[in-house]
Amino acid sequence: MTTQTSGSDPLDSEIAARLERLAARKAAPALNRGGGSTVSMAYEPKDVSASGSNGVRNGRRHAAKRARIAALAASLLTTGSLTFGLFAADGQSNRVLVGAAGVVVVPSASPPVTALPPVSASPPVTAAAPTVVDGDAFRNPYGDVQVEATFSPDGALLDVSMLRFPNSNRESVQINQYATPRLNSEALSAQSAQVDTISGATYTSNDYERSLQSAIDLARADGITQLA
Amino acid sequence: MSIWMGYLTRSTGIVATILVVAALLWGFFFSSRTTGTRLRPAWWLDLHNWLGGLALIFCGLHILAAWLDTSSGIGLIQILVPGTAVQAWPIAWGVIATYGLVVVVFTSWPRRLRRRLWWRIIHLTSVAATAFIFLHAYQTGSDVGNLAFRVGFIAAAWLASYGVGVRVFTIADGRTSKV
Amino acid sequence: MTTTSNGTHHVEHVMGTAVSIDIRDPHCSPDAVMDVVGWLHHVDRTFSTYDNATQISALGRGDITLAEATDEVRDVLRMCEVIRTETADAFDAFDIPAPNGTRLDPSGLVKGWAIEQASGILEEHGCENLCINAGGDIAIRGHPLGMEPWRVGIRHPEMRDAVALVVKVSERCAVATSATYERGPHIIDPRSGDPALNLASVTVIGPNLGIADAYATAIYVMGLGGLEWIEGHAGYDAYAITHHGSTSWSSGFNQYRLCDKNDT
Repeated sequence: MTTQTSGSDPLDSEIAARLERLAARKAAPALNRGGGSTVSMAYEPKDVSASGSNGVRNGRRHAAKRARIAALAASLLTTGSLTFGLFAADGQSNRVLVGAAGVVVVPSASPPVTALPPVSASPPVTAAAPTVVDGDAFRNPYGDVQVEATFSPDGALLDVSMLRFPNSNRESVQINQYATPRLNSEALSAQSAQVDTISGATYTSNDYERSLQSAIDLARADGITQLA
Repeated sequence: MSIWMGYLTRSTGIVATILVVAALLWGFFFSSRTTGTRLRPAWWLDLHNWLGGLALIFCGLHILAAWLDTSSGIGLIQILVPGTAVQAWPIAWGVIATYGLVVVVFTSWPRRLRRRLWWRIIHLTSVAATAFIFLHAYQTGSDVGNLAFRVGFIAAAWLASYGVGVRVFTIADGRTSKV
Repeated sequence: MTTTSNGTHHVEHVMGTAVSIDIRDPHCSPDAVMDVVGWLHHVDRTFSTYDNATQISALGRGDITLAEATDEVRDVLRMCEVIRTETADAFDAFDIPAPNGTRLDPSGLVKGWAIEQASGILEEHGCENLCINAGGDIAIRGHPLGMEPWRVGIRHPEMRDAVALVVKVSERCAVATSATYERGPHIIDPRSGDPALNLASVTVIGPNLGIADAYATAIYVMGLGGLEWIEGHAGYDAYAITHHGSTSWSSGFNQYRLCDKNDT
């Protein structure tokens, strides 16, 4: 008898201690809820005993919900402030030409000359090498862009590239390959590709800066005519 | 309007990147064995899923804004087929990363893929997708010059590689302990 | 403004677009260009539908009556009304949604009309060989060089930097193109109120840019049937590109087409 009781005593106390810890654990969220909100004390024991496990799950669901809302709110807030922030930052210098003012003609065959005096009197029609004309840098929502047009010695427009700063991605368009297969019936030889102007619906100044017409205007500003 | 769409494209892109990195880190640190399975509350995993879904939504907004921006040159074909945009590679990375994200999210939600091995392999492509996202951000180059971008880029790269490292080492540990 | 031995060139950002003024006469007074720039800004202040302070916006809101408007406004609105009758309502300045919230928007004619007037101003200054391009609507006088014709590229509807066709025009001539590129603003069919989706691009060539501009808009709304309609309008010809990439043109258009090889 004594051995039985003495043997069960430490076990019992351990079980009691575990139960106590369990009770403490269960009570903790309930207490937190009581302290955090204005729930009256009368409901508290009912929460713990009758629907204790439900109460815990509810607490967790709230935490998840709060985290979700916080993530969504932070994302939307960041998007909004970034959109306006980027616009404001660019707006300071919007439309201000970033590069050197004026158009500079650099013969592409010669060693890299940084800036020849702007050619204004006569177009370089006698030069054997193609002529590269760099436009002024301008700013668009994605960064600073510069148009670069290449002309053949006889003045025909060969290629228009857009240089993108700061990593100088080059968006190049071979304008000799005019017609797509879908417009094959209208295919033109490279010879007839010389144009003086472009007809098409340009809606905004931003669209204009990316258009072929702006490259033609660049060349004209330098005294180059398409028909040499 | 087009100008606003341009700035919206940039901001949603930045936010989507932050969300993808956050979801990745949440996945690595809080679902992995390093923190101990028992201590992992359900809402942490829930937040990982939420961040992943939110990242995809902001990715969608980013694409939508680029599409609505008439000066971007991004149309339906450029959105769907990598390499068709004027800036072929920079945009292609973004397109590929989007496909990766879509597959990762929709093999986990609304129903998780049954075969655990397949699911895990597909889920880990999110690491590659994140790398592509950074490549996309770097090569399109609108915010490369920004100091905040550089700091964020280095921090994200460091955290992501740390996360990958933690994952790899825990897998390695698991194998040695089994043997 | 740039003046070289090849003439005078200037780009002005006005009327919501870029206007390129290209004068090939070697000795044209710089005042000519300044007068044109002043005129274009005056047109913007009078006719813009993006500014609530313009006469057109006030007319649209009903704040002023037609009698209170200036002569030029009355002239433009009368021209709009004539073209509306001609086009059987395919062009209508009085029943389309304008950016200022009213339903009066003569913009489909105003840009072309303003450029037509601008080339008149340059002619008064003694300039004989010139080309003014306002966002794709072009007024031409004389020749670019000697007796060469002006070569006008018509933008490819899908590719920003490509040309679908090159036409040659000279003396007194106008080229206007109506199109919806990529996801640009739609052209509204005034008869239904819905965006017109029949064609990708319409180019009209004729003597007056204001009329050519309005006709291009009308044919864009009419669809391919508009090419038959324009056959009845002497002096005006049209060229249309469909969304499938096929092209059609009115019978008189061939005279402007640049026949490669034979021509160069």
